[in-house]
Amino acid sequence: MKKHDEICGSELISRYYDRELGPEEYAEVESHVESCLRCRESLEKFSLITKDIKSEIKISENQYLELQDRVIESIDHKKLPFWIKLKEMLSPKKILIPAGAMVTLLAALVIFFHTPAANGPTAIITSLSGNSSSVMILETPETRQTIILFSEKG
Amino acid sequence: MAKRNLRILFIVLILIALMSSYSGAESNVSIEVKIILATQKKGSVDPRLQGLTRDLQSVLKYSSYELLGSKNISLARGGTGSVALPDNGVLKIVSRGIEGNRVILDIEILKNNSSIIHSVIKLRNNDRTTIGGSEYRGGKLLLNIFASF
Repeated sequence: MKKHDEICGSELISRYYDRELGPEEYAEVESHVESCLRCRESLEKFSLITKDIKSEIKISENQYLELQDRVIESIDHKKLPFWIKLKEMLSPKKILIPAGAMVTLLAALVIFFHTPAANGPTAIITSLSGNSSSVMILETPETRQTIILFSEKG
Repeated sequence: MAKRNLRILFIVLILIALMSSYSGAESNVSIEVKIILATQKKGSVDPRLQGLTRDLQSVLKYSSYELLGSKNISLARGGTGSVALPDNGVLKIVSRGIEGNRVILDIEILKNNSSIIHSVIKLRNNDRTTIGGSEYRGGKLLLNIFASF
């Protein structure tokens, strides 16, 4: 239960006017306003300001409320400190779940499509015959490509 | 809902991977044969052989490499392919199947129907080997064989 001093002239009056309070707070402020001339005057001022603004803008009541919500929302968003915005961006739902799914998929792809690292010569010779006079088997140092060089007879 | 979709996607990917690994065992082997003339003449390297000749030059003494021709063959297990070579030569390749990451190839070079060299090799997937030595136009014929499956 708030004291009258805490309500009178405070931000609560503005929030009461904008209907931003919860039911309990709203009832408390409403009860205070009924008995407080100063706060009633504040509310009247707010009402006049609103009327002035509305008279300058040619939009319907619904459009006005919508615009008001959007403005409040954008102000609230801009007011957020950087670290909260960052925290929002890095929230588990936004990052961890897709990242986890991506890592799992990549792991699965690597497991299924991975070919063992190249080692040994490119070709293993299991048999060799023919009419050639000599045969030389070489291997290139960089790629380990197997080369079979032969000399023909005669 | 998103979780369920993700699970389905994951299962589908696993199935695709399993199917591809299964079909890989039965798939054809693609072979590319390049016929190269290597000589000691002061000459340039055929631009179509740029990547390959650097490797060959590290062990062979030839300075000029010219691509005379190339042929692509697709072989099923037991299938035979042949490539015509200069001077009545023929290269015969038979696929003996796949063993792990290598394809077993039965390779024979014939000249005037006589076998010059006959070898069975296990060539690594997506890799190459070079066989050659027949004299031709003052140089040697080299056959570069690349296999993939």
